[in-house]
Amino acid sequence: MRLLRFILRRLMLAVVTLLTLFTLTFFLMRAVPGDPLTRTKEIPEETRKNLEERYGLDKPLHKQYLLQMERIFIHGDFGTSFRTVGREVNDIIREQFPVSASVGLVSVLIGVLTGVALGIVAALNRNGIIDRFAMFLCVAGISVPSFLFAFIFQYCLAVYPLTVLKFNPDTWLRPAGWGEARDFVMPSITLALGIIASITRMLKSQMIEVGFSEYIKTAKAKGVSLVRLVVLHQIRNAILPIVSIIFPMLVFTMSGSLIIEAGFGIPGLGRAYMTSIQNSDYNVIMGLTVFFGGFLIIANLITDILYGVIDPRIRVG
Amino acid sequence: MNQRNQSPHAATADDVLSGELFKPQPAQGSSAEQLSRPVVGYWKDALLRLSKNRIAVFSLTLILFVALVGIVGPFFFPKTNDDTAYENAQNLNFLNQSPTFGEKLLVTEDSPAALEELVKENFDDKAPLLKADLLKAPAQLSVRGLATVNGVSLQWEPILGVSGYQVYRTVVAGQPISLEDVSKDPSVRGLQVGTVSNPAQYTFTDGSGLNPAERYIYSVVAFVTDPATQEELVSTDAAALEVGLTQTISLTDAASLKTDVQAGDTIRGHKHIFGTDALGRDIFSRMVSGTRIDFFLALLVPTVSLLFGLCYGAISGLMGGKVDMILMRIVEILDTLPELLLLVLIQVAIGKGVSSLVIALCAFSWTGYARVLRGEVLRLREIEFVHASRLLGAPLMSIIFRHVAPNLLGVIIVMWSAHIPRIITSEAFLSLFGLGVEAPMATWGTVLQDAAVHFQQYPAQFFLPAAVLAATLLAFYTLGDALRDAFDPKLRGRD
Amino acid sequence: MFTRSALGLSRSALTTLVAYATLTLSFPAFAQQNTQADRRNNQEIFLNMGDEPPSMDPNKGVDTVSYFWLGHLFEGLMTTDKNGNIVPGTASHVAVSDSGRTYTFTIRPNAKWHDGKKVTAKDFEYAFRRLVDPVFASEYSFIAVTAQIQNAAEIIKKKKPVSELGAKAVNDSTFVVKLENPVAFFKSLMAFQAFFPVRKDVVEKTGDKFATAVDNIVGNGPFKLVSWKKESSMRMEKASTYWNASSIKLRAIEAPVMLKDVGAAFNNFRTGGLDITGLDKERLETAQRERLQVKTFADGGVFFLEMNQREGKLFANIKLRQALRIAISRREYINKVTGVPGDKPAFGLVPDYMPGASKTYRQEAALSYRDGDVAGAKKLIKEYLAETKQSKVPSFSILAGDSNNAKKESEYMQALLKNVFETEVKIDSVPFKTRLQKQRDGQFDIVSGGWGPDYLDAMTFMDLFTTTNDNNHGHYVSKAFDDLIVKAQRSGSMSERVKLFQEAERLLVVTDSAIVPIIQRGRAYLLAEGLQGVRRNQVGQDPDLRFASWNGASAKK
Repeated sequence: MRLLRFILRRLMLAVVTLLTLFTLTFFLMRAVPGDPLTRTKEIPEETRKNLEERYGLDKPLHKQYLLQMERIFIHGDFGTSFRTVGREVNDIIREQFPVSASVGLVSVLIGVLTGVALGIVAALNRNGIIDRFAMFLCVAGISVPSFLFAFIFQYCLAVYPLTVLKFNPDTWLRPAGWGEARDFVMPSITLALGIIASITRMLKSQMIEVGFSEYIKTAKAKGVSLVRLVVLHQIRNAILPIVSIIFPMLVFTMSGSLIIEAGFGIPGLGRAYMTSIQNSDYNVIMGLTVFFGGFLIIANLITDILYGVIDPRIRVG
Repeated sequence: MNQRNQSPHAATADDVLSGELFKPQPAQGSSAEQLSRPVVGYWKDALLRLSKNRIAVFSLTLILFVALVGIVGPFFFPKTNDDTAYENAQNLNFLNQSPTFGEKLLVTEDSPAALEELVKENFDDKAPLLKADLLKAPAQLSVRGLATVNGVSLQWEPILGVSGYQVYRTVVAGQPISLEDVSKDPSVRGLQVGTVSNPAQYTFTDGSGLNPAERYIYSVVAFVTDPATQEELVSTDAAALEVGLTQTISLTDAASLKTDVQAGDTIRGHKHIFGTDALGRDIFSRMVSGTRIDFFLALLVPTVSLLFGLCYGAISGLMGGKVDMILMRIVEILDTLPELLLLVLIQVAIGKGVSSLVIALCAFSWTGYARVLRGEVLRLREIEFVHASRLLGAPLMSIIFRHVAPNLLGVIIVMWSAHIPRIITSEAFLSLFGLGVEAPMATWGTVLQDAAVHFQQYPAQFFLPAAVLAATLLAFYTLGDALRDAFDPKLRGRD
Repeated sequence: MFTRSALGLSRSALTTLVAYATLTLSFPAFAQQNTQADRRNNQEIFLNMGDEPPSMDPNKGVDTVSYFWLGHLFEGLMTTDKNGNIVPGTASHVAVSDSGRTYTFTIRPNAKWHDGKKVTAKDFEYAFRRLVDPVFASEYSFIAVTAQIQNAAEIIKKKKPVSELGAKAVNDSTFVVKLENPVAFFKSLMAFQAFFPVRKDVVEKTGDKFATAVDNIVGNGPFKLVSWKKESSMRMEKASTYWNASSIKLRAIEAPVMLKDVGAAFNNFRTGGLDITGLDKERLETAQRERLQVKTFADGGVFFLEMNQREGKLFANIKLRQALRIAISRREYINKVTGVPGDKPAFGLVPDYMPGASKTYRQEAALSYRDGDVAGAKKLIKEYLAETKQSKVPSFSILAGDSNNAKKESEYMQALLKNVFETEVKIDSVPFKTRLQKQRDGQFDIVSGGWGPDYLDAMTFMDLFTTTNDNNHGHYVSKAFDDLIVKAQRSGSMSERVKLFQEAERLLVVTDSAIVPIIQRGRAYLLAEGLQGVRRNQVGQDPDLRFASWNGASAKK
């Protein structure tokens, strides 16, 4: 009952958030000089009028606002792209979101697995070589922006081996491209670095925190073997908070990979977004922003619920 | 049993406890309240622990050093001929140079007369066209005058009965190649830099995109145009010639480097320790002047966000009730928006420039401060020592300044310092998308953007500034971490 | 206990992964191995067009990417041969009336659509009508006005019904087009994509979805679209239904990637993933070091500075405009800034390749020029200052795009103009659309503009700067210029037109200095060794691969 009320309240807030996002995006877009019909070669006035009529751009701004709002929130239809004729925004999302999502998912998977392993080892091997290495990796992974890594990897992992060492281009990593399993490698590693860093750091501090807790002391006092102690008591409790950040991390990774997608030639939503901004493609900009916004909201909601389920201390509501 | 054995004063059979051993301590009066060791306050403790953290001290030193170079550096830039700032001064003779401590340059006259293209007189241009298989390479290919980045002028013997000549150029560096290869194999002649369609013209000057560090192989072939199909038939062999460029500097420019020079001297040019970019601008000086903007942004944006967030959070926390609820819902809404996407959109909407960058970056970063500071205010309002202070009759101001503010400051400093590197990253990110400051202003991001275009060709141009960026960010994060640890008394003694 | 929970965790992760994998089914389908050697044997070409085609509807397609695909998938009444000459395409024969106002096309009996149906005159009639239909609102409808097809202008303005268009199918194989005035280059216009045939039944069946997916496109050209993965790959294969299929040697043309970044595409080329790709200045040296085959061509575009001549604007003053014209060193600009060997200096508006009456236009209509004359420019500026009694030229700004190249070029211009005009010069660097809008609204002093030809005649450039043209962003107003252009539009004689154009160009560029031409854009590209017959065009599909093939003998690697 309590959970239901909590979810209901959050859903109401989500609607308000989405409307805010919609309004912000709508007016920001309109504030940018130029509209979807602005072309390098000017469209003759008569044709322009005909086109405006066709796309409903001749209506007053508040009408356009209300119409688009109705179309998106009531009919769930984001409209069609102004740039790519006849291409529905819903199709863009349906086709290109899985691409972004799969890259994000693989990155998070790599990141979480590596991060968890590294975090545990670092915590157990405190101030040892592995720990120091892991900690350096953490700070580097968090502080150095991912686009720098993208450049480095592209050069070191693909261009150099292919052109100087003459690796076989049919099997080795492609510098950019999409469609084969190997194309996942570089973008995923690039995106995973930041995840590895934050997970390792979090897990290590959690492990240490747990290590000082009373129940570990108790277990130690009762003579539990070291392996059992670490595996059953320490890791298990330390790992719980990690679970809660995985989902937001996934969303963040997916929406935050704009440069990565451009650099590696990945046909994901980030790329579609940048193209749409360049072309003042109103419907695509709006569609993608609202989609990502909604995605973020749901992700947060799930995380909160998950947190409540995992950690009984936190009572929802 | 165990305990007795371990005690240092374990009783032996000879020891006898007597009353003399137990004398009452005389009363010490006020001195009992004194602390035997120096008082270590919250701040002092934090500083002390920070200074013990060697990595943090190193990071701080690095940041201060970078800042110092940014502040002082521009005063030591070389003078330019006009009032252009040195970091914006273009030198079209030194495009995309690798890092150098000053190349050797030949001083030339200010405006050497450009070489005219030459046409052979009394040349029979009505001669019947040669058959394609009789076409030969032009003889005696040689360089006219001085070959520099401004132009390489070639000359050759004109051939009777051709339609014209094609000039090709390739580089010596890279996969091994000989003049013989170039002469025989059309596929390795490289780029066609020009066509001479007058058979009597026997010179050609090429100047497009020459790089002073490169050695070139020029090759010239003759061709005839089939009058029926308009197809160009080319001689199988080419005349080939290897050409190295001489680096020159004009007399006026040389005079600003060294007094008492004249044409024909050799002098050392400017130092470019990070090399130059695609417009011949010194990258190091661009980084230095970029430091000013980046650090300015990195200090201003967190501060503005902090002040706004502080007011917002304090109002929300102190007012409570409905106001608090509404204000916090607003924060929640803003927090859920896809920040990166909107950041790009805002920048596009409000245009370029430092001020719009500040607005765009602040728009989303104040909410974090507001949320945390509201929580802190709520917590501190109810905390025991504040209650105690209030009960003891301390005035409100004193409570705020003695108890609330210092406790907030720790949190503020930690948040603020963690915010700084994120701003530097955001600036670089936006610049890579062509957003950010107005050209030709230099920031770290614009330097990276300029270099990213050709980072595989000129990696130093990208990786040196990138290393500076990465090192600075690392230092900021490490320092931020150290500050967090230092201000968190719970962690004391664990490390 | 731990192991169980760990398993539970990874199992749930696994479920999610599987869920996503099903979502992404579309994705590894293209994973067939296709090396350059395979392609050589199979006569296939891989290339990067950089982007998704904005539209595959012939009546709508407006950019080079769309045109590349459409030009291979469709064929108009006329087409080009491998030397670029205009020859009959889907029409086997064309008859022109003596007045030059009526064109009668006879459709080939063996011209077929990819689904096997015959191409009829009705398909052309439908396409022509669709082009000018105000409800359909094609952005390229103006080309029908340029072609002077009867009533086109009135139909676009909704003053006449679509059925009144002067292009009619007399029967299945005869198509007649009536013109208002004779148009010297009408035949070459009939090879243009906007005039490609369109199948009415396909349009009506698919509605708004026409030409948005493989199944919704039926062409009549030498190639047939077989696969289209949005934003990632496209492939077309030789169409056996094409009337001239025996002349086509290639079996398939594929864009295996759509890379906007030239560097990324370059990397794919040098590792054997592409056979043709564009090359920028930055990668030129690397390409040469690796002994890759570099080619250059003129892409047809002419770039010029437009100056805002609206009242009260700085460059309304003719002296300043003339100073700008002679001060800029096009040679230095090309050699040092753009650095692409295919670039040529432009002193006039009409590019060198444009045909004239018998030779090229430029050979028949010479134009005087001055280049890099800073001293001369400074003298003009002094005169301006004396006339207006000022001590310093007011500061002004350059409107520029935000791409890397635009940024570099405007920064160069800024430094140069600062030196020449001895005043502060700002750069207003804005996103693409914003630049266009500001250009339109006259919110600029100087902007770098450019124009690519729509058809192979000097008119495509010359009519830009008439008073009423929307592309005349600087608001150049000259009655004399307008009159000359109108005269040229009404004239059917090429030699007379060349004279008129020459006079108009001299007025525009030299006398009034309304624009400052800078470069005729060239482009460098990489071509795999052994690939022959690749044609680069200024007008029409570029690259044109219809006559391309692999030459097996020269395969070395």
